[in-house]
Amino acid sequence: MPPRNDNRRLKIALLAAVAIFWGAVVVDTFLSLPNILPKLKGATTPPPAPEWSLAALRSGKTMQAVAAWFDAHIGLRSFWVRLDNQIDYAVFGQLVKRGDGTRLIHSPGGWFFEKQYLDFAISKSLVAEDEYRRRIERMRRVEEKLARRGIPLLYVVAPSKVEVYPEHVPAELFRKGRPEQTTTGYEVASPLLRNSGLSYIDGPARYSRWKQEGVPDLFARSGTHWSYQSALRVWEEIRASLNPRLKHPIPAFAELPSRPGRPRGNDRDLLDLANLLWARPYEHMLPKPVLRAQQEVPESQLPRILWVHDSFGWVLIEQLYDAKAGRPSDSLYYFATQMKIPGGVATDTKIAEIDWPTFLRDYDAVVLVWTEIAFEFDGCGFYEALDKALD
Amino acid sequence: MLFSSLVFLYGFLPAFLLLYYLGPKAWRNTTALLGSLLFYAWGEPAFALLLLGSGTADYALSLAMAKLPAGATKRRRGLLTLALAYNLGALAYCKYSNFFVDQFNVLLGWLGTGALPWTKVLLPIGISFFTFQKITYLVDVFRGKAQPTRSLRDYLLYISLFPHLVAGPIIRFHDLADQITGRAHTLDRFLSGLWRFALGLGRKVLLANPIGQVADQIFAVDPGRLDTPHAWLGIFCYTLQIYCDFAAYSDMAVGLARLFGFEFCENFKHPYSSRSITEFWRRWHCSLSTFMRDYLYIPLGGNRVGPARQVFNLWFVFLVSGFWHGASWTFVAWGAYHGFFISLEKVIGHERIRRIPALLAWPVTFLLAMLGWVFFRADTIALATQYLARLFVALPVPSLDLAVPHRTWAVLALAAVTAFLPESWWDRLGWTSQHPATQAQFFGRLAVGTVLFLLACAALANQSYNPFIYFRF
Repeated sequence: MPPRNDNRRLKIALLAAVAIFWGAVVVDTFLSLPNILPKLKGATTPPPAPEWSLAALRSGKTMQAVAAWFDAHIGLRSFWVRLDNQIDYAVFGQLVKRGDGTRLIHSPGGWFFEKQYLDFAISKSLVAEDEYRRRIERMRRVEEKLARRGIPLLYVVAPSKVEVYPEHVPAELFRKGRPEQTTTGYEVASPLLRNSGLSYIDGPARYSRWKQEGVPDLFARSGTHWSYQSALRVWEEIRASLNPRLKHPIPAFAELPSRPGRPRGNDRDLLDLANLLWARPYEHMLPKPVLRAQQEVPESQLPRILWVHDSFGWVLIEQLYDAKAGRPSDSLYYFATQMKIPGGVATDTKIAEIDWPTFLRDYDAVVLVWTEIAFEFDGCGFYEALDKALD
Repeated sequence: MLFSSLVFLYGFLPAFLLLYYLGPKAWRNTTALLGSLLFYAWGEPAFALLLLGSGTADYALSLAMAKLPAGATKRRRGLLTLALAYNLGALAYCKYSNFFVDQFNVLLGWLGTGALPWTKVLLPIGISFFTFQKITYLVDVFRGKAQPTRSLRDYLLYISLFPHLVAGPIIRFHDLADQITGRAHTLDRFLSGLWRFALGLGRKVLLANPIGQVADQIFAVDPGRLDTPHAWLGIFCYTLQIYCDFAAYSDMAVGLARLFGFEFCENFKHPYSSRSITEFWRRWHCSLSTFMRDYLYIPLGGNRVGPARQVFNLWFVFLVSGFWHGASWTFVAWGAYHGFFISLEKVIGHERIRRIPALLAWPVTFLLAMLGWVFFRADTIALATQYLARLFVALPVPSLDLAVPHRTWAVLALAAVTAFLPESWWDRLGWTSQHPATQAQFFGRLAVGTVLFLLACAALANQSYNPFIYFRF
């Protein structure tokens, strides 16, 4: 056995390394060191600030809040979280959900899904057919009321990735049944929509057809929304439906040549949400179309479209402004937050206080983009609000 | 504050160590005391006053006891009784009053009268442990086995020293007194503390926590709807969880103490490798077993009484030990269960038990310990008996739809290996010794300790990160 102090220098170096590492985490907790790793992806609720009153101190609430603050601001957090996720994913082939956050599902080949879409696909409609009939009648009324004001309304139903690519969902997750054995809310409403005379684009049907025709990458493997590539097909449908009714039609998008590359932005949002240290091996190459900003139509001759939408709408909005094919306008995200587009900066406007007849005056069209799984939400109150507010 | 929390690891601990080592040497005990009080007050500010108040009273009474002439046994006994009364009284009130009032109300319910109005009493963290420590001090001073300290600060430091304050080990004053007045702060001891702390942190965060989630899921199921394989999985997980959890806490306590020069006794010595229940209790929570022997079993007569009384006393000591663990009939039953087997082994004779082949003795001992944990984990005796029935009588119920992450299965296997490997294996690896004996052990500790620490921090940070892809509303 060697004497204990024969490698004293090594031990001092080790202690110094521990101190430096420890210090780096502490400093990063309070002062934020430059980011070595990208910031963690995903939206989180910041913990409440500690309350420093005597009562809070005595009850221990202050200490609990300090601990929660520490958890949320711990130095090198991006490294810690990504390291833990990488072990789960790379070693054990799983992404473990903790807390209430978005639950990810993945399967071989780098396919990612959001669990809520799977739940929808295997759940029966919660809304009765009669209720859908009543709602669709209201949708039609709102469309007519807007048309009388010269504003065409188009409803775009976005498809669910789980419904388009069920074969890539791990089979054991279809315990309650498979999508083809379940009649979802949208499937109940779909025949009613078809016969209603409503102006709408049936995304699930279109995507099903395109898939049968062999169109690849309708959804990126690592994304939750329609891919940039397939969204251009949706744009063709939108133009075909809206342009005949628009004073200022939407110009066609001109696509510049592009090659398949690493997924970006919308096409990798689920992979990003997995927050891995090393995501490269799980990236599936696909093209991201590059749109040429059109010069032919002056901005004053472009349409100003009001968007009422869920997250599927962002891809369409991004492409519209990449192609400079629309005037700056507004987004009513989830019919809950008004945002200025392009840019997506939220305003202070309270949706419930909007004076609709005045508000709608400046728009050439209204486009609703809602995923099939959210069909039951009935536009999150959009139709009800406009039905009441418009003559 | 938990040792396995980020606020402790990167807030309290570095700040404490900086103040401790950068301040003048003469202030170190004061720094340790203030740090310990802050640590305790963190979660329970009001209860820190209880600790300080009762500690000051102990100090005064112990000095008064020591000042009395040798012949004044009655007066010394009176002072001891007074000290024990308020210490055990506080423990009884804080820990057991809710239980006794509940039982009384059940009785009143049977008699058809209304329940006693009662506001639930909050349990101060660690009161079971620091009360026992105080008893060792007071009784040892009374017996003349220890000299009372002249320094109130030193006594308060002894009872409140944060590494052992919340969950032990239960350390006697005379084991710590010399260390309080003069201890060596060496690089080797510091590194040894870091290693031991990392080992405990890893065991707690990487093994005990995920296994505990499986146990929690299974024990949350009504035993009437639980299938037999999952019932076994549940109790197996809990058996490993409680060991990994408690032993990890002791590892961290020993490690933290070394960081500022203290050396604590070992509390766990691979109990699941035991070949009898008697041996199990020599290896499980050793400081409690020693306390119970010295401060209850021996005063009851120890081995000086007749065989029948010895057997009863043994059983009684375990009954009390069970009740000390928690104010519930399940803990009493757990104590009685272990007391029964300890007494039985006493009747059979330890020499005979030692002759049973290891291949038979070890699994039987483990099985008995595991079945005992059912009482420890279940909320009521009725649920415990139903759970035990599920272990041996299969019901025609559908198999539980249990989502166990793949990582947890690997963790379970690893925990089983660490729990079942006998002590000699760990000795050979040099994991339990204070200092590494060879270069290989040194670098082995460095590698394992670093990996465990990083992975544990990663798991802790990730537990608090639950992102949504977008905020929807």
